[in-house]
Amino acid sequence: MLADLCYLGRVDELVARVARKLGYKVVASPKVGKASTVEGVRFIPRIEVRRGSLQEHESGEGVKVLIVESKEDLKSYTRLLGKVDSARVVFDSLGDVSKDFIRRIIGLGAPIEVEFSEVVEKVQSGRPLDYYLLLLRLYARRKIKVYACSGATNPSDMVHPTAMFSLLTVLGLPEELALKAVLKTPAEMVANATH
Amino acid sequence: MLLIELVVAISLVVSLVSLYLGFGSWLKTRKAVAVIKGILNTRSTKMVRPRRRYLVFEIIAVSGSLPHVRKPDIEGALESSCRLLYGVLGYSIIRPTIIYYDESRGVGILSFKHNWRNHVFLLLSLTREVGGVKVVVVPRATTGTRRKAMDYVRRA
Repeated sequence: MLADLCYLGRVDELVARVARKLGYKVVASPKVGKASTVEGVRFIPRIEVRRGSLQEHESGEGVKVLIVESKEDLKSYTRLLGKVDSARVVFDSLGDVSKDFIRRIIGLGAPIEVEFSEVVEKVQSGRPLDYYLLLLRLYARRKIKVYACSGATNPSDMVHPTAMFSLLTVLGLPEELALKAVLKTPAEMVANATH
Repeated sequence: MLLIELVVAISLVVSLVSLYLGFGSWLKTRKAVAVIKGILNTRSTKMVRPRRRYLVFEIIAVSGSLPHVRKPDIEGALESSCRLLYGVLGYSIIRPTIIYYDESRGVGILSFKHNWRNHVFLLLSLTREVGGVKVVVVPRATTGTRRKAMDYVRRA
């Protein structure tokens, strides 16, 4: 079951048609309030939670993504276990990544999101990909789980799963792990998410 | 009676020891085979002859209409994306060429070098605007011959 877990735009029939053509069965978006099915594609809510507002969204339905913007967000990470489905690290606002932070990410155990559009934007603007490569290295050493998603804001930005697979392999990830990051991990997350 | 028990115990110990030794020698043999295979494996140092691959793709027009998407526009968009991502050298090696494009259906065939397959998939996903029309390029199938690709296009 193919799933795009970070479509950030408004959801309508065109999005459903493009997603169906691209082979997606499930699309998660923050603009979706309640799970619904349009043209054979299931749209589920994507709940982006900050550390401070975690308790407000505790009973919410959908895929819960923890937005990590500072090192403090992963402080005493054991309290987060089982409360979030995945984590998204905003490296731009994070600054330097210390060993302690990496230890916390590993300890959190939740899959880390790698956004296709964000990586591509960095490549096209000539900015370094060091932190993404660090994540992928940790993933290749089986320390963390990683999944890829499009990060599209409109239908024309949506990408085929093979493109995400290609990006990960071009960045040096072994093919089996890249395939797992595109296919298996998102499917597991959808199965585990409450909706 | 005691003698029989003793014999059974000795045979059990001997069989366990032989099992242990056998397992050890199997591990050693496996390691030796891996080393020999590694020596004989020259694939990484060999230059492989690049073969052409034919990718059947479909264009979905997100804004605007599909007939406005023309073959020269797609070629231009692919070339500029390819040069931006992989540079002049990458472009000359990959040489993505559109060998067939049906403007009414938005289905076409792109040929490229086989060892750049992943790069071409990435390239297609970054081609988002062709001739002023916002599009999504969907790779459908990859084949080794032009005839099979044409068959796929006819069936699609």
